[in-house]
Amino acid sequence: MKRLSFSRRDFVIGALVGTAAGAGIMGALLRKSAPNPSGLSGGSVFHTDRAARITTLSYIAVDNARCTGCGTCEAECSLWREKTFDTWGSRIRVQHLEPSIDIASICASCSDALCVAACPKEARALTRDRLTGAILLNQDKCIGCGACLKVCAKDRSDVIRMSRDGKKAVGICDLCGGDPACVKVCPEQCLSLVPANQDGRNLAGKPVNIARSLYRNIYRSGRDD
Amino acid sequence: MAGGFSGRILEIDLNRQRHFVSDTDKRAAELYLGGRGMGIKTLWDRLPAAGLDPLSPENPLMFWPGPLSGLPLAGPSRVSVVTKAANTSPIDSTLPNASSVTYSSIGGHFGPTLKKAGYDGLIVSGRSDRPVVLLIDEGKITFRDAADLWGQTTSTTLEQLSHELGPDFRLLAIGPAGEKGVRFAGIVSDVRRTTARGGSGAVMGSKNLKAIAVRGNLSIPVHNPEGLISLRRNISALISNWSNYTHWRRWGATPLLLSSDQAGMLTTKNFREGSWQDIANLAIPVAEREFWVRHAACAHCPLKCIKIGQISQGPWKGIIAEGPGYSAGAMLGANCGISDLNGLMKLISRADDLGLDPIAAGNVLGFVMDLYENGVLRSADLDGLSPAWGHVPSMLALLDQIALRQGVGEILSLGVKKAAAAIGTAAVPFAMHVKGQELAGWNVAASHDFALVYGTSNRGGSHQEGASIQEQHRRTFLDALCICRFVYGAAGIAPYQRALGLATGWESDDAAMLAAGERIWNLEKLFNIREGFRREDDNLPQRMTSLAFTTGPKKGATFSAEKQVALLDKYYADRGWDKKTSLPTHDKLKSLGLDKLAPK
Repeated sequence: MKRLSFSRRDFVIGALVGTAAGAGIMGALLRKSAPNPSGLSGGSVFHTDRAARITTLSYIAVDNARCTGCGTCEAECSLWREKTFDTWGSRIRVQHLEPSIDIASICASCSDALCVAACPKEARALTRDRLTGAILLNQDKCIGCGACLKVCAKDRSDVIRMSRDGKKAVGICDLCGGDPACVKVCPEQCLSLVPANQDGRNLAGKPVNIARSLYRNIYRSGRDD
Repeated sequence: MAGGFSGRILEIDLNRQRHFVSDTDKRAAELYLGGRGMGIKTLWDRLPAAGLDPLSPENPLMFWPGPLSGLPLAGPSRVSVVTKAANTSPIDSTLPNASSVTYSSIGGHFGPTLKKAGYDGLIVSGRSDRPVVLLIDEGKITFRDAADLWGQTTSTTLEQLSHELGPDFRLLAIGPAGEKGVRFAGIVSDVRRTTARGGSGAVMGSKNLKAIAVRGNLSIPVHNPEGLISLRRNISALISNWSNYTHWRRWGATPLLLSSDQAGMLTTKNFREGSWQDIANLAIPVAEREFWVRHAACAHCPLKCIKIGQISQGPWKGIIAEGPGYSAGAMLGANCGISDLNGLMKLISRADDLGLDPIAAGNVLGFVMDLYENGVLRSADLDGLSPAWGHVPSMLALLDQIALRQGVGEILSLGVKKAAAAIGTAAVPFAMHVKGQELAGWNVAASHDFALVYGTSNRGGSHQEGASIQEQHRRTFLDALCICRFVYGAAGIAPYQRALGLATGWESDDAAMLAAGERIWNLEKLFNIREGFRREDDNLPQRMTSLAFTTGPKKGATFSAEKQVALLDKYYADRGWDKKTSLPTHDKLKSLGLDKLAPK
């Protein structure tokens, strides 16, 4: 019985964020190795011209069945987006559950964006990027009320948290403007930037719930979670 | 404090369930770095005299990450557990509790997370009046009552704590073996890695400490962050260009079982032979096809050696276990005459659940089966069990008895050296250990290097230390930085030397690196000398120098007593140690700045 490589059916059943179905389309949509003509964007090698990279509403699909829990994505996010080794503010979080399973959580770009709706009118710190579909957090406007965090934790992926000083929300992925750093470094290629061909809200889930579905898929020889 | 260090050490006093934070000694950190180095330095400073009972409250149980731990690099994912060993003993000592140092390290996420919680080390001393779990949430230290977990297996404990605390905490736990003070009990982590050698699980159990959970996301200050970020890419590139990269990611250390069998280096039936006819049943591709369900990795590492599987058929269907890694596969497999993977994985899973060192457990079981075959022990001596080679049910029963110290398990729980002494002189030749530490999964007759490794290792019969003096110093340096041996194989030592410079700002060259390794090695040696270990404690069991292999590719291979004398003579001379006693000479200690510590 071969159980390490997942068929497409398994992959979908596994309650993963995103599906492999978009893989073919993805190749067509994302221009490969487009050089950055301007060579700018704040000194980071990652922030290339977004228009050259992404042309439709997208999100990062996570194949959690392959995640090894190494946390390379988490560190890369903090390094390139927050310029720090502190992974608290990372927009992708890798968590370990028992029996052994590792889950990478990231914003699923839910179409109804409960977090955006919850953001108080006087702040309006959360908006949706009309090109990429990512939720954008304006740190300057954030008043740290924690409303977005609560709705995400209650019904969706639970990726938002308060910054260390408790003054701002952190953890909402903006897709690096269209060329995500984490996707490039994952040694397992569990992360891929794919067109949003499903409503992210259906795929969002707390790590513990995603793990519950995955257990049945991975540990299928007679053990329930 | 230099970069790479948080400057804080968390100290736990279990007598009063208090904690306090002490400063990392800057000078000590420069000389001993971290991990195994800071471990022996602190152990030496805290134990002023020889002969302390390792299971007494005064013996510090220490968890040491290194200066690179918690940084986003592949490699420094380990944590060294340093304490006074529970299982070793010198041949000639007037002190009943004399034992060596032990420094067992495990990969995973515990070390990096402890560092990111803001600590260069964790020192646990005292003894709690009731079982507790230590919870470290960055600055917030609490103790959770562990009455409900006491007596539970490691997997039950880890699952319970994981569900209770949530997925951010990284965990270590002991099983029933550690609670009962089995001399070769280890501490098991949430990625099923065991701090196997030296009985750290028994030390933890003696403190009534069932488990440790740690969470942390703090940033570690470094001297040159840009340099480190660029080195991060170099190390990734070095590893992914390693010739073994694809194989290692796919199969981990399991194929070593096959190559070791071919080289006559496997341990078969209590070390009698160097190859095993059924090894193909225990390794790849069977493990990959029949058993593995997922791979897991240590912090920031792409090699994902942690192979998690589930038994898919037979009486143990549904059992989840990790492996077979090389050591557990050789010792609980070939060394016990096991012929099928499901039986091996059930044994590994049971050893992990009970919190036993799988290496020592395999050695002890091989010892019992050898004695049974040779008529030294009969069923009547073994509570009615008939442990023929490869008989899994009786092995499982023995493991349970050892862990609970019931029946024959009471004496077997002492390890082969003391168990053989208790059984009688007829059993002594079958005990395969050095200094009371059960030998690991590499046989000697076809690979004499291992005679030196086992003989001179400062924690007794361990296979990890390297076969030349320079290699021993290199690996000691890596242990002080908590770098994994496999990543060392892939990327070499140079990137980590450079990483240390970038993190701390210290200037260092090859000579300084090797000197750090030598200093740590010699301080460990001084610790052991003080406890009464001498040259005769560096000898292999006599049977290894008298029997030749009778089967396999290396049939006829032997290791002679004369060769052992020659190897050790040269080794002591090259080290600047006295040939007769193995004591480091005054000149050598002076050159390492250790002369004031020499025993009178």
